[in-house]
Amino acid sequence: MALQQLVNAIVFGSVLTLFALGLSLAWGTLDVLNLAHGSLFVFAGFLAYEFSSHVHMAFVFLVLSCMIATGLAAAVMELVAFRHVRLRFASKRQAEMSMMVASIGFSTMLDTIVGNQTQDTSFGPAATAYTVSRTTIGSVTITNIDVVIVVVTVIVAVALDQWVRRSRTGRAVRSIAFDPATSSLLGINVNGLAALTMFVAGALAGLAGVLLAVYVGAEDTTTGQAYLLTAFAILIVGGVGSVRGAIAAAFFISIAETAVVAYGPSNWSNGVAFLLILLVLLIRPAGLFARTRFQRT
Amino acid sequence: MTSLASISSWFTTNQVLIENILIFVLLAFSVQVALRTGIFSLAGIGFYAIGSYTAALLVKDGWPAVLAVFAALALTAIIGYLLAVLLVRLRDLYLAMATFAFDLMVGVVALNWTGLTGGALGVNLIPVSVSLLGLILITIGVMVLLTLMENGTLGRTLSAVREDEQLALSFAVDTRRYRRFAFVISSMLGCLAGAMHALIFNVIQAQDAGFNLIVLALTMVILGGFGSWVGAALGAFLLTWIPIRLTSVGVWWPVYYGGATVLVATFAPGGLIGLARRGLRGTLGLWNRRIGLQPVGSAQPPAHPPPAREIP
Repeated sequence: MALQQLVNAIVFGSVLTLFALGLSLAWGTLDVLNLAHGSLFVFAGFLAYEFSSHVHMAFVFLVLSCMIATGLAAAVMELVAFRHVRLRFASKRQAEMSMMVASIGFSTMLDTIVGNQTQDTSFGPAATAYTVSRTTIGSVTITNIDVVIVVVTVIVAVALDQWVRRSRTGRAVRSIAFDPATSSLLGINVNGLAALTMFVAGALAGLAGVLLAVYVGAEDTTTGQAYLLTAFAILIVGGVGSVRGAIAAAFFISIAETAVVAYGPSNWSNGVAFLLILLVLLIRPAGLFARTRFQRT
Repeated sequence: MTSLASISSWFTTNQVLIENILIFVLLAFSVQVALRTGIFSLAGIGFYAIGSYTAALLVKDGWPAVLAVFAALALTAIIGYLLAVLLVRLRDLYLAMATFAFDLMVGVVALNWTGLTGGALGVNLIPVSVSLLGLILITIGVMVLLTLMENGTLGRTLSAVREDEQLALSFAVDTRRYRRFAFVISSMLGCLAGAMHALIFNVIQAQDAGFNLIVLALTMVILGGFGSWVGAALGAFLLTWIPIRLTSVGVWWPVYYGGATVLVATFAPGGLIGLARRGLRGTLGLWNRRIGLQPVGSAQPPAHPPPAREIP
């Protein structure tokens, strides 16, 4: 029983990781607190439902096409709004706030489109798009979907971590986070890289969205909000912009929430995330896993 | 007399709409006061919930409405002060996030403290104890207070705290004190909006003050412009009135207003009120030029720049 709960927590934590990584990437490098991230996530589930009910395609292609679509949607946000905010606003605080509000606007638009197309009912990808098979080992039941989610998460998280840390582009992206003006003087294409970063963040939201849609079978426009709020907690606990911190925090929170649902007062499970946000911000605002660094004012 | 009668009949037919608008105006003020002082706090929505529960439960216990509202305001002032002291180190998006979490935590408590708040059922059958006239007078009173707060020494000090804390500090402004002050005022305005909602619409639901209300209040303030309360009032008015009045825009209305939010946030940081001011100044400038006046504050640069000082 306890082992089964642990398996559930790990699978749930994997979806959360994928979701939070995109959010963390956008905030950590571009200062965009993208409130539309949850809507992109649901949008991906919606696209998977639309695609799979009209065309029959292999599951891999279904996931990839949804990822590309949400990635492009996020890149459009960057091109339409965030880029101009970055160019026009001298003060960082004003820019951050304006980008957050613009993302609220995008979120409203996406949610309305999905809500109207589905008549605000819940939806999920057609059952023909994938097959579920169960394996029981002892007292634990694992589906192939669980395995796919965990494996994909591990691959993506490692790849992202290495990309941001090691690759030339990744280092350029981190330099934007540190000081966009100087990076641009050093010959880094700030606008292009910002669009690429938003594309990656959106694609991660899409990947998480499709995998969750397959995992739980159905979702609606409010699903995104719940995930967004949990992802906030992950970002704050893990430290904004830290890939490894986000992974650790995602599993920590998913295990904590699963434990509260299974053994504690289950109504309070939502409170776990919000309480963590408040506590961590009060005690260690930089996040539990962040290295303290010199900050210029 | 006939005009008076027609005005009163207009008020009766539009009563619910006007009440809704005014409550949102109060809530938008709560966010605007904080933003104007440079505090990205959304805690007003949590205090909206606290205010509505406190006022409703006290009135149901037989308290007179005025006392109940004052008690709710006093309670939120205390909680607001404590929260401001706790969150003193946080700035910008981190503060927004912490207050966001506070709001949702209030919601979770409201949903689960069934003995006090009625849980998911909420509070019903609250005696209706505030009239439309009372609400209008309260709103006008708040507007007068906010005007006083935006002008004079206090207004300039708060602007200085927003624009540059370090500079304000060097001018012997105790920025922490002013930030606490603005935070408490913002909390109390949120509480007032919540109390009015409970005492006018006589029902509270646990999910009233949730994610959507936070986003809506913030959008109102940004769309209208957070530089002055006029912008917040305009934003609250537009976002409450248009969806009810223009039913023709129908289910796709949120797409338009989401798009408008994106455009205003990106291209008009002063909000609609800032756009209107700039437009007004533009037309005034045109008119001034026609009658040969120099617009104030646009002195022409000298035709020949002064020679650069030689460096010894």
